[in-house]
Amino acid sequence: MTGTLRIASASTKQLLRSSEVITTMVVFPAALLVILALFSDLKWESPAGAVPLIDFWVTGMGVLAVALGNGHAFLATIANYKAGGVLKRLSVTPVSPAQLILGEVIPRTVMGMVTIIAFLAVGRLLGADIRLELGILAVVPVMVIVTVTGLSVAFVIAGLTKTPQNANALDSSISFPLYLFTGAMFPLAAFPGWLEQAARFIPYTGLIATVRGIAIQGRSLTDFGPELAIAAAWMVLLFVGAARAYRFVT
Amino acid sequence: MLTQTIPLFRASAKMMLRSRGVIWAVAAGSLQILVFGLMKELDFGFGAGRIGFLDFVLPGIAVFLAISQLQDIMVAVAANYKARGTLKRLAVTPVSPPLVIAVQILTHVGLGVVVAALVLTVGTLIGGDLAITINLLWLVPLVGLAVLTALATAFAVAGLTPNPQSASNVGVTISFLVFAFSGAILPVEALPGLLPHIVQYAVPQTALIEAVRGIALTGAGITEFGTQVLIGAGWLAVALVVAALAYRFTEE
Repeated sequence: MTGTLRIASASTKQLLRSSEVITTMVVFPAALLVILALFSDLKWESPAGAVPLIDFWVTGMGVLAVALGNGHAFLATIANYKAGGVLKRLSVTPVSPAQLILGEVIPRTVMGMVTIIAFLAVGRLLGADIRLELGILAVVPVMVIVTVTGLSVAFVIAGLTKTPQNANALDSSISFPLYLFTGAMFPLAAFPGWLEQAARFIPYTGLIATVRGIAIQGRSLTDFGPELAIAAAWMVLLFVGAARAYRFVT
Repeated sequence: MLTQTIPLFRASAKMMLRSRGVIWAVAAGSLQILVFGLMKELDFGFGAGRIGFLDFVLPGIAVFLAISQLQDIMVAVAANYKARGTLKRLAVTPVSPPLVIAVQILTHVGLGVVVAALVLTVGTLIGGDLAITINLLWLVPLVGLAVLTALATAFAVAGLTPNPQSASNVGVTISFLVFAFSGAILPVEALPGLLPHIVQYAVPQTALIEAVRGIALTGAGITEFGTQVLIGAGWLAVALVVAALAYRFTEE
């Protein structure tokens, strides 16, 4: 346990020094918020009604940025571990590969939660209609699911691909449809009915709807039972897939 | 000169068509517009106005995807040439480095025009309301100008940054700003105060995208967009000068 915490502490320091993490978790979200503030007059008009772009993207892009930004940076690390045989070599030291991985996962999960809360808070300051009440804390467990799902996807990709370059290419191909079909950028109500229904079964769709419902409409977590059930099923499925695809020592 | 140029063109075209990034650039634009075509009931609203999403983004995304993806690819190519000293080594062969670069740029400009044409064709087939007139041919030089500016910017970025990683980060940041302020996807008219007028001059691709959209949606002639073309040409000149000063062919 102490070993894992020490590794987590070292990973945290490394993360905070990493330019890629700073870029994906601080610079781009900050730039996006400034852009949204400038376009605060713009709305999406769909059959579901009008919704300000800033409210829609602060919640949708906030969740997806944490999931994909975190997952992308993590993928680079674990794909290089695999390519370089790092975990294989670690398995003969007193530190286990599982401890090393856990030490990477813990700080990224915490960072994901801090990022989304900060993103929502700054978004509110810039004009988004975010309810910063006690109920907003309900997004924390949702973001745990978001982060674990994103990191599990990274493990699956790193396990299924042979080189970091291939891992990166597969990751980019998967990210592309997520921006289009999860409701992060575009209202699902604008799609034809069959696609709107199908999109609800994509891993992050329900989580984005939940965060949006909590942060914008002040709804409670219990209103999103089906969404959370689908997201939890994906999380378990991807977690199992990750454990099978990414081998620590062989 | 010509005996070197034609084989170089052929080799550059072959390499380009074998590249996964290029295949993705061609496919992604059309796929994206297919998805946008499904969102027929989506509009942008601002103030009292309302703009149909598909018609608005169709010309914008055709240009934006061509410039952003080809710029990203060229940043990587140029930064790696610099990091590995490829052009320095080429300088002692009978083929001149500027010729290699010129051929690569022209091949990519051609590809950019093809990507944009493909996106516009797919968009029209799925219900985009383009004005099909002879004036649409003006989009070829306009898209070519936009792609050339993006490629010159790529060389400027590669020249001004110390390594391929930094070059990639700066390149992605520029694409992000172009995404936001070029009017490709978000209507710049929704910006507050004087910003809609300022971005037309301050962001390299905004004026050209306005001209492309005007011609594509209304069938107007290029003479109605003289100011926009001048601004676009001005930005191309700036990008070429910075690229020429920053990116050295034979010295580190």
